[in-house]
Amino acid sequence: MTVPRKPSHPDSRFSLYERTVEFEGRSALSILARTVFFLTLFFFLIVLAVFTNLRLARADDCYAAPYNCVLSGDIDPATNRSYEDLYTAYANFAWDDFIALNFPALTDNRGNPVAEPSPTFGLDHNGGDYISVWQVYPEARDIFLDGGVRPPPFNSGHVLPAVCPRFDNDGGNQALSRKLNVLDEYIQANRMGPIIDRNGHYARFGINFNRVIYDYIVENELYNREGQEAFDAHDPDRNSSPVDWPRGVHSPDKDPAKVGSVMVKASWKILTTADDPSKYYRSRAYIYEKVGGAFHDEPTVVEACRVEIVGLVGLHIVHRTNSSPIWVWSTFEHADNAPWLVDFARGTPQGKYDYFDPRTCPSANAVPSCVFNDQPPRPWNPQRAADANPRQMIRLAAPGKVAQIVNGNYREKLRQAYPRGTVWENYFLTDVQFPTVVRMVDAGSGLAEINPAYPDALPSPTFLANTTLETYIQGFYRGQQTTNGNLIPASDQMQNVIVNGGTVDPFAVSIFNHSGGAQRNSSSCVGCHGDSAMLTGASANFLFSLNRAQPKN
Amino acid sequence: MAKGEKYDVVIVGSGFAGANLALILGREGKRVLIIESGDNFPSNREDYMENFYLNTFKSPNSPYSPDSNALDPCHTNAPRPTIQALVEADGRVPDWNNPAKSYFTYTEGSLPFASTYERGVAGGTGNHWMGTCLRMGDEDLKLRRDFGHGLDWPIDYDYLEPFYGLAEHQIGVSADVEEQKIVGTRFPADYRYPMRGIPLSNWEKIAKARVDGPPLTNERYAIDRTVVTATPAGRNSEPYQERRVCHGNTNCTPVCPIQAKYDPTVSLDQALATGNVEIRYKSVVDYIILDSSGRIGGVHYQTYEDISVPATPGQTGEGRAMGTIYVLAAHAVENAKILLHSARISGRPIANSSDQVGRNLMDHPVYLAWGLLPPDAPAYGYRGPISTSGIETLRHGPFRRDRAAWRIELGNAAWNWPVGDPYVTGLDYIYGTDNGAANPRRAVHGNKDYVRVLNDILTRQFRIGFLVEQDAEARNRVRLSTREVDNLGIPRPLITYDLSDYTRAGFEKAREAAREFMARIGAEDFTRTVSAAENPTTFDYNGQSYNYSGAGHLCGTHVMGTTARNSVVMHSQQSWDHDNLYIAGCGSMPSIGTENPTLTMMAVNWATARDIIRRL
Amino acid sequence: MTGLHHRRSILKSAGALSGVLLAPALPLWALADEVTVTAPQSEIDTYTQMSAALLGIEANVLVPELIQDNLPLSELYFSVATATPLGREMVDRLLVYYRMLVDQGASPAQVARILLSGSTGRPSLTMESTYARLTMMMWLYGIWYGGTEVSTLPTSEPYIDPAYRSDFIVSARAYKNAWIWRIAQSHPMGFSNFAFGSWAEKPPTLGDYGIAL
Repeated sequence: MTVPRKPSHPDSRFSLYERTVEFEGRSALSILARTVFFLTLFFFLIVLAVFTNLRLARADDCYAAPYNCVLSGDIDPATNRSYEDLYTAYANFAWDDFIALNFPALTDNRGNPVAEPSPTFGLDHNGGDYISVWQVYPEARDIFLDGGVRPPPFNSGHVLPAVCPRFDNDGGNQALSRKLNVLDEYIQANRMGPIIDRNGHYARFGINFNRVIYDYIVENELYNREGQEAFDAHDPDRNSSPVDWPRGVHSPDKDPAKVGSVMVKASWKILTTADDPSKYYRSRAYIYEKVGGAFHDEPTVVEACRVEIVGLVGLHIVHRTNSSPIWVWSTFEHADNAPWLVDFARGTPQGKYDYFDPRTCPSANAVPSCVFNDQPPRPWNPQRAADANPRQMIRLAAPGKVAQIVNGNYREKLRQAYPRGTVWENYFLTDVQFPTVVRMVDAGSGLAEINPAYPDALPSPTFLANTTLETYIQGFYRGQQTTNGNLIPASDQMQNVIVNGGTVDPFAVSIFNHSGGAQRNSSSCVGCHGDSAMLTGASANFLFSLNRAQPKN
Repeated sequence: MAKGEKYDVVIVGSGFAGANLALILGREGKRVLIIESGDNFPSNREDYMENFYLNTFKSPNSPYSPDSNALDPCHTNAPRPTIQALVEADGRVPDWNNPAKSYFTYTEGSLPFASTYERGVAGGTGNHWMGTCLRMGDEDLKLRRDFGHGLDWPIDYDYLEPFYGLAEHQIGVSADVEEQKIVGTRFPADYRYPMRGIPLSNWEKIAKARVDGPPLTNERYAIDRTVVTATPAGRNSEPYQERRVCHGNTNCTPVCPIQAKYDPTVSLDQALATGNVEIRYKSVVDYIILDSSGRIGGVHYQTYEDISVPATPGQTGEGRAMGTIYVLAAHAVENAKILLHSARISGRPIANSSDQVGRNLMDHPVYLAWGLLPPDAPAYGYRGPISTSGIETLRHGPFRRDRAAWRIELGNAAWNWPVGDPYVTGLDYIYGTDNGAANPRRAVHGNKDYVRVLNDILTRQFRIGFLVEQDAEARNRVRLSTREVDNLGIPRPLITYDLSDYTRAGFEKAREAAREFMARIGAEDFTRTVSAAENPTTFDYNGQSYNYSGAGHLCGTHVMGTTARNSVVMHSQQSWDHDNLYIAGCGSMPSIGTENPTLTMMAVNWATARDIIRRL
Repeated sequence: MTGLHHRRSILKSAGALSGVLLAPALPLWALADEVTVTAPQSEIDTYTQMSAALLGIEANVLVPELIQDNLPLSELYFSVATATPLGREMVDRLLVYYRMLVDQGASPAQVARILLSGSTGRPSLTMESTYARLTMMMWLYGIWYGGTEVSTLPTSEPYIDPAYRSDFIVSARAYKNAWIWRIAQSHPMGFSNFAFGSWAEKPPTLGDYGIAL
């Protein structure tokens, strides 16, 4: 297991205090006296600063300036191992990750963003239009390059296809251009299809990896086929994979060296004049279409690139920790994506949704009257107006009960910390998948290993989909019939448990999900990602992206 | 395209042949229309998987519509044969011969046809294939010339060889060339399979260590050794075509949950992505229309909506599709059915001046053998792909003059196929019965005794299967029933089927080889034969009784040949009688050797595609 | 694929009993938006203890502290067995009988023997035994074997509601957690989370699966 390098902090806190110290020219003795005085004061202030920093390096780092919003490494190993307590711990962990990843990124003295949280700007920075920490992480397409060449250094910006426009005021440096993510994907996993919003635009996806993952890939030369073959050299049946992504460790003082491996997958909506941008976390990004599509599956697509303002509609966060060798899988959605199926029992859901139009899908007999969650017809070409068929997307599952409680808690926390509001109040944790069967190795550090009889660790919930990323595999709903005429049994449904009546509120417990679903082939995060493999066929330890590696030229 | 417009190619069926033809043509910029009798393939596999999980009868049909537990072909819109119809008995009349239950009808004295196929889903039967991708050998293609049985292909292995490579790369076949040379396959010097071979399972390694050696019978073989080798398969051992690698779901047939196993919907998806291919679902082509010059002028189809059984509404509409070139790729039996029905309607033979349409129906009847490995070397089955290895070295040789050849498939699903385990034996120990023959004392167990005994038995189970060659015989044929129709009013098949002495003699030697296999491996042999009363797929030969299963390989109904008198199509699968008609699929194969036919059919298909492109 | 296996009557799945959304013949829990169990936890626990005795697998393995979706299979199977008034009555009697055996000092192995084969070594024909078998088979296979029970032991027929005299898969969740496959040190066919190449080596031990011999 490689030890991640300690990140450096380019902005020294001490410079702040140095600037307040004034120097005046006097006699040598007074100069000496003043020097001694100020040095003493200096050291005192340093001690004070360090001491204050230690006190500040706790929960409020993300909510009050000066900020130090770093990621956690794991849940507390002392967490009681009951369903509710563990679920709550992981849901809080998911939210802490979400906040820290979406925190404004620090900029260095040349104005380039680095993958560190800003100490100066908080979650309300610029009305929600800023580059977040995770956006600075390299994308999958920055790491796995043609010719299997070594990827550029971490924090050096994103790789730009030649066809993408550079900024006019760039000065040839291209540094500004390289800040922007290049979003080249729009087909969901397993070729499920694209999701098309009400404006006729395809949602765009991107995958980013943190430093720990990047380092592991580079140090083990996993970025090309030959490197992977060499790494898996002593594995004739390809069943003893050496891949073992570094794990986060619980650290009460939030040691950044203990964060572990983090991957995110984002889904973005292209914002138009028809949208209210203030509701979204937004950024500029390159909308890039590779010739033939990102994986050469869309032969009608020609190469094109343009810059758009995009709003975040979904975010997967995947984090490998001591307590969860199968990783922790959390997913967040924007509140306006789509209505819930169960709400149709109370009439037609009203609202301005991004992927649903109530006018053409009123409730009839307590169910939607339209065809919903169906794939658009092929070919899937975002460049052709004829293929821009907006979908009617409906959410099948409410968040789980604990997720709803935690959503409410964090929204309240955000409102208190940022009274003028942030875009983050519009996002909720759909759910978080965590292991139920593991072997505890060390209670102190919370280190757990997989029980070989249960390689997926029997995760809970069994099934979890983000409607913008797994639109067409959200599970089964009550009353649905399979093509052979089977009514879906209750324990296979995304069951909605009605507590208080009313409609689904992701931030409070009124209707919550008691999950089900066909988890072998699809939306169990763990169930699907457990099938990930290197190019050799051996396990990729839950990260599919290793299969993007190209052979060396 | 607007109604009435003509496509470059109209293809009937979106299975292996149809989907891949459409893909090749679509990539060449040709305008293609596919008319598919089944439903759209769903956006995800959850539906198929839930059908499968909830089905108490987990046959090859089980994930796919229409529901194979409801047997009512008269009231089904696109019915097909089911295993349930083969084994269920409604009172005294066995269901296989009961037209109210069985899609196939039979002439007097026929043996039941043991294999099934799919019509209700896009991708067709290819959805439930196992994935085995063995190439045929030189002598497989010249059975009559070299051994005096069956029919010859009009082409030879050298002609097919480059097309095999193309097919293997389209499907994504995992195998190692050096190992495949052991079984006698010839490759170009620099050929490589797209992916590495799949490792043998735990019990197959035991088998190899104990069984490799001299041949299993005292006959003359081209390769006089028994060697267990990995089976080339259309199953990912590396990420390929954006599909996952195999994770041993042990469910290849009927459905791979993660599509690590190739199926034709992969090609169909790619074909549709070209933007040049259209498809109409739930559209059943019932007859071909000739124009005044005797060429094909169009295909007529009926549309339907209701996939349930029984279906109440039948036909919802109809249509006629026109193209420059037409391809029937609806499966061997359905191709013949369409041609024969077209003849009945038009009053003249369609593509049948040879009178061979529907004749030469073949399958690979399978001889199963199973047993328990000794306690010191458990099999640990029920894991991995259903089969990862076989004995292919005994397929070829002079013995073929006297008896049909076979290949041996080693199975990883323990006694699931021959006995129905772990259900049957598991229930035997609860009810004190002995249906699986592993509870001879008819004990009833619970608690730790149950766990101990079942663990011991289940972990030692293994099975092998002999895929026996069936030689082409004109008397084995598909005709149209004069009485029975489906819910769309289309006549159903009338089958005449028997197994020749040549094939039966192959079973006799299979039994001998199986016993030798069991002896070498040190197994307790549990293979047994039941009577025809208990299992209709039974025959006698030389004083012994044999049960046969179906491998799912329906072939031969429109064979290719050298002249218009002795065959239905040329080697390009173009009809001798109508120059704008091709008839594609396993039906074109004049002999099927012992190899699962899909790969060879795909290779032939590639040649057909080239021919069509050349002509357009 | 088929071969020699014995003929079974036509088997239906849970939903195929009717294509209509609200089929009266289905158990109430299948219609509800959640698995509804209207029995006290103590009764479910007894049911689990009895199941553990029948199977030879510990209760805290059948129903661990931490379960996927917090949906214990004990509740699922209990609700299937007690879905009809007749079934409810039968299970009540079975649990009373089970408690009596335990109070009399019977070990789990003895409980299993008595419930399954009485003192004869043949399958016991009492109503308690019928439901003991049905319970055991649900845990083992995820299948309600009402049809097989009746066709194998016709004397069981009056103990089972007519709507439940067929075989059906309880749910895909039940199938995927069926214990017979773990006893075989494998996984349900069609549902494996094992890795590529895992079949090439020995499987996890029974102990790994949580089964102690």
